[in-house]
Amino acid sequence: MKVISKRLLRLLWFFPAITVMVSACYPDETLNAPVNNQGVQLDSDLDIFIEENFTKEFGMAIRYRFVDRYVDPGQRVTPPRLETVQPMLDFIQEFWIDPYLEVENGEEFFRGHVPSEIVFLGGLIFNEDGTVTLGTADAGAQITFTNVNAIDPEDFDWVTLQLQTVYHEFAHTVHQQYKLPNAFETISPSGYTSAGSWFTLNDEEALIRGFVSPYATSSPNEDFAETVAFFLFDSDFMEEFMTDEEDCQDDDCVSRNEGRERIRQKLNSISDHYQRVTGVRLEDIREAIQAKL
Amino acid sequence: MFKLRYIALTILVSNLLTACNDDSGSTLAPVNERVDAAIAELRSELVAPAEGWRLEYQPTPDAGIFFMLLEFDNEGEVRIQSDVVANEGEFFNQTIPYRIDNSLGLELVFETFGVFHHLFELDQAGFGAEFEFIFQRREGENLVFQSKSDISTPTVITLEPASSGDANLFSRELAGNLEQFGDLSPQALVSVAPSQQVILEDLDVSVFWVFDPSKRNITAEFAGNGRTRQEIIDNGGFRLIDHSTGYSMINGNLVLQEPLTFVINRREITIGQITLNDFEPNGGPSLCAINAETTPKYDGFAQNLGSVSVVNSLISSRGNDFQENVYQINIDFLFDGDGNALIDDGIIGDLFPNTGGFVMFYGVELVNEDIPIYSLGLILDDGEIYVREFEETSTEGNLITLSFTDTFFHSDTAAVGDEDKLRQITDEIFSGGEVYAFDFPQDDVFRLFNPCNEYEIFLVR
Repeated sequence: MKVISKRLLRLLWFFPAITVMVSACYPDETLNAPVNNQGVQLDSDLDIFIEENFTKEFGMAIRYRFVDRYVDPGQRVTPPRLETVQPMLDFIQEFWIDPYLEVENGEEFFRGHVPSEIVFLGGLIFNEDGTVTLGTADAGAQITFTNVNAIDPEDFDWVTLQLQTVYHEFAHTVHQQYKLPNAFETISPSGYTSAGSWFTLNDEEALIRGFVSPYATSSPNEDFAETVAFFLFDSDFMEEFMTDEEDCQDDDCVSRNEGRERIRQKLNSISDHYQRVTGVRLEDIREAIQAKL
Repeated sequence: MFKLRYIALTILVSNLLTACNDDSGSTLAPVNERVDAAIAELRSELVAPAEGWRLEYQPTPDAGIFFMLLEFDNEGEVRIQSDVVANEGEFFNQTIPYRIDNSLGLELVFETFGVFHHLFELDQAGFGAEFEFIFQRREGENLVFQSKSDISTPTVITLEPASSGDANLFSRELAGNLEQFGDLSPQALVSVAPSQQVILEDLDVSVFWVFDPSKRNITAEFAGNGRTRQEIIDNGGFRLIDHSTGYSMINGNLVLQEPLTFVINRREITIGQITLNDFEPNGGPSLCAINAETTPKYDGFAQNLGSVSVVNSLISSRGNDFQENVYQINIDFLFDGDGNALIDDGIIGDLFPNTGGFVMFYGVELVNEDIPIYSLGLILDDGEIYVREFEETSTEGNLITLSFTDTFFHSDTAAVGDEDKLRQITDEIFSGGEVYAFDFPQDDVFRLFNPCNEYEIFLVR
């Protein structure tokens, strides 16, 4: 056993005492000062509308004023035009929120899974490496809509960007809370791509592997979210992914049909999963969305 | 000795305890109160000037000046007037929310899309403008801020109290008219800044510069004796100048931040400012040899130089590296004037839908001596090439003159009627017989621009 001398013991007693006295010199400051003081609160009609219809109604904050923490350092983005915010709110209300409210058990599901923060960006996200990010979300807590300044509900490409993003990201909340459907990963076990290489595939190659898009091959979680998003949004989904090509004359055609069979299995699995864990029929949501498009 | 140590420790403790007393007799306010006070102080300074603030905004050292007036209010809104021509005058007069944050210091953030954000987004947000600024200091009546988003050499802006006459300094009409010079320049994929010919009428001298109205800078490339391309060639040709500068537009004047000085005819000429006062949207010369295409013209004067005319030009040093070589490209990269690919919605798709690429043999002797050393045409899907000869030529500056012959070469056997189809394609793409080469921001990639139909052909060396 190591022995401590009396002399050392006396010194050790003095150090904490002095430390306490020195620290007691600092004024009593609170530690909860805001990182970003929002400064002036603009109680505009728009802010009041957001507060009443989104924040209080669903617990969902709408961020349209620029705050740089919404994107990664190095990403270059702009906020939306003020006059696009209300039309964008109307758009997500009609095409994202309302379809869930209209179906059985949909409202309870939506309110229970809604992300806490929705961010609007004016343009696309320009990355340091020269690439452009079209849409993004953060683990179900935040969904970011890009290119809001170009809002045009009649523009198919713009609508596709927005709705595929939000349906995809919202689908992630299901597997995050309730896990993937049983044995989902085993339906296309060899089809998943190695990290960061999904973009080397084209649509047909993805289909042959049993995926609705190249991005779906990047992981089972993305496969789940992409399949849900395509099913809800794509009006040609049944024809494109559920119906086999007839009278196949070549190997590629046969391979495509084999891929479709895997997608059918996945969709059945996902649909059963939704019904079981959320009480919502995915087919009902698709029907509600398609009726609005 | 033991007592001495205790005496020393007692003195030390006493000193520490007395050090707690604030000599001023007051305690420091909590952090959030101090932050709120600092924000309130800056806001009160921002809203104070009766006429708002004047800003001569230069986003990057290479850019010119964007003139703005800013009026902040206590309700978190700022009215920004500017001379930036875009979106039908959207940024001439706009009110948007602003915020003062406390993060890396006091930060002034323009919260929704306005003129600063428009400039920020130029060049895929690579231009270097900003919309978040960190407060730096007060300089007399001025407030000095620094860009938050610049990684190196942050832009510094100075807000100066505006005077009542500053609103008259905007040169929006001039800015709008100068933008029209960009209508006849290559636009596909990445737009090319237009070139202008500045004619010093009284001296019979022309200066050619690249004029970028979005970034407000000028790069002077050539000078020459004469007013037309042919006159200049006959009088000794184009003499290189290398001078870049930003510019501003104040009170109807185009002001070069770094005056352009060059020597011609043993005379030193300096252009520092041009007053442009007579604009004709269709007053300039046609740049197409076979059509009377209309181009704009600006007339004015410069001090000590007399009358000045500004017209469109396509002559530039940005394509003079396009010299003898073999060039080819995927067939998707030939566009009409509306940006449609000629394989999808154009003559190539109509006449040769099974085409994979385009090739130009520009003065190159090949192993296969049957291929004309000056020829261009198609690379077919089966790998065969099918080209039409043009007469020997060379690049003058960035101008290539093409005169086709009736000699064709097919690496296999042309089908009946194919020769006529290729004749139609080459005649259409190169109608007028003159194209201008421009660099592309990627090594060994060029584009040829035809001013007669505004077709654009990308080529890889």
